[in-house]
Amino acid sequence: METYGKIFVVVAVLALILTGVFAYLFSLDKKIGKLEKEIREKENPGKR
Amino acid sequence: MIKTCWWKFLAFILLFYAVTYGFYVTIPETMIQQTMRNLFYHVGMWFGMFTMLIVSFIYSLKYLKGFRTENDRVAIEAVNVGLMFGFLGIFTGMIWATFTWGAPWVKDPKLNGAAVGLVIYLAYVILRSSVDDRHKRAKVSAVYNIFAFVLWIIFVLILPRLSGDSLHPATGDNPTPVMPMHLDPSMRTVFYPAMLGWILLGTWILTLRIRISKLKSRLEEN
Repeated sequence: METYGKIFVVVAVLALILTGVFAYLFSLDKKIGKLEKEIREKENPGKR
Repeated sequence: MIKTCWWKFLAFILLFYAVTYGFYVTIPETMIQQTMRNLFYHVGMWFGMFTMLIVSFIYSLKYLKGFRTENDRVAIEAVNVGLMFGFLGIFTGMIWATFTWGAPWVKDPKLNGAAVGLVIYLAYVILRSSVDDRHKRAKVSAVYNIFAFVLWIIFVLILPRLSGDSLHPATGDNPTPVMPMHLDPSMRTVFYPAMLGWILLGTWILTLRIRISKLKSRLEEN
């Protein structure tokens, strides 16, 4: 890889993008979880 | 709260490994030079799509057995995720082809087969939207999905091999060493983890889509 200098910059960018996408997926997962909980509580008030 | 599962973290770790170490692992000297590293990413799209199509096929069969709406839901959402992977596979392939064969699209059985494969599944989505009755829609599309899966395998995996003159690797006569069993051992250390990572990522997106779809139908019931 020495012939393609500074490739680590591209690798760093890709790593950051991937981390961002996964962080976004985790937050989506959380949001959907919250909605599920809300609907569950609405359907059976009283129960937890 | 978040449905924390170890495999979601595993997906991240595997793909992180693939986009970092994938650039440093030694690759064999071939005509396609450094572009061979695309194998970890472009092929992953097709592994992801194929996995989703298998899931969809299984759930369509399940639907026809008991006519449970839950199974129909998985079938359509898996096709949706599969199509996302399929389009990414086609477009990443076009970038790679431009620098390997000199044009984004060449007349080739594998490429045309992949395009037909996408159209088959787009037809599935259109077919669903054209039937109003929910139960009829589920039944008709489950039957179509079984045909679609078989056709996809024929067009994408079998016919390009039989044609014998495909430029695309992994079609039989092509000697480019990118087929997993001809794959350089050092590349395998990235290739297989990467494929598993893409499949897990697809599975995660699929579970999110299924949960949203369930929430939607619950809202419609009330």
